[in-house]
Amino acid sequence: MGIYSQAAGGELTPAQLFIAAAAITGTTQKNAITSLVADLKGTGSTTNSTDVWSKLYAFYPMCPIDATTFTLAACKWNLVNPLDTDAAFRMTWVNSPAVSYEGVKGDGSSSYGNTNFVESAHMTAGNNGMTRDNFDIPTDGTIQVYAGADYPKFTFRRNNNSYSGQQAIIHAGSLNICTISRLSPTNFIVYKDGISVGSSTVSSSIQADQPMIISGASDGSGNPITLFAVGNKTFSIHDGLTANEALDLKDALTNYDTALGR
Amino acid sequence: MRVLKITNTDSFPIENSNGGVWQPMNNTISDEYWLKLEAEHDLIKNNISYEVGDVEIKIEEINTEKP
Repeated sequence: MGIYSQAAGGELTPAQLFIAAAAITGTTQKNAITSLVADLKGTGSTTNSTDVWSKLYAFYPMCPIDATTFTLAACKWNLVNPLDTDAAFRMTWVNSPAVSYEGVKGDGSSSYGNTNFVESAHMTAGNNGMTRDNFDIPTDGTIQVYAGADYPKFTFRRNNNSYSGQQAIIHAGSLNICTISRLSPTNFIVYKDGISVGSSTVSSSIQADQPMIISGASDGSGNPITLFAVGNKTFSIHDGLTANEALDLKDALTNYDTALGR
Repeated sequence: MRVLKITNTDSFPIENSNGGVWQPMNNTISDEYWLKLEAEHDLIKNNISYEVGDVEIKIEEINTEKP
């Protein structure tokens, strides 16, 4: 028997709600989700045991159904609120990105994921962040942005001057977990695998007013204009994270991917 | 690239049998709307007309200037 269990009193836990919504049947996959939630809540196995969960708006685990089954439908669910509605930020996969045990990958020309999350409607200006965990990225050295919203106000691209250098560090040909975090208008930090690799004190309170998409970037009207052939193991949208929280989120993602064997 | 060219986009988005939706793109040199070949089954199912043809994708430069 795995660690998948029901909460006391019969109320379903967040992990159970997600597992039911995504129709996950594999024991390994169920256990990975259960441990992931515990890690995110700070009750599992992370360095600082911080509560990252309460800062999450959306978390897409893109979990396989079992060891050999994986579908786009199972990868659309938001772990934080696994309801099949745009308002719950259930991902809308557009134009059939490729799905595998590793996750979901855009084709670079037409397919992407629409999170249905609009920053200006749900976040506080000057407090935002997102974390990507990729299994495949282009190697041409020119791609700098893997998640964006409301071009050109990419969340990964605020206050560009020092950002280009930061992005060059983050995307230097390696697959890694990348977190951007803005705790205040003048406190922006980029983390690579939970370690700070750049920062900016240039003030910014800009908020995207179109749905955030992954494996692509959209224009000011929400139209996807630049798509990337990038694979996503997980993707999350959150408030700004402290250094300890960013490291714990990295730990949670690493534990999750390891548990799944991907 | 060989694609399905769509002339009337009024009916979109439509459901994708594999999950998600189909939404024609017009990121081509010729500004034509298109979908991947694998959308054919769902276009037929929804009685949407299309033509098989070739398009060239337009490469958009990412703006690196400060917003």
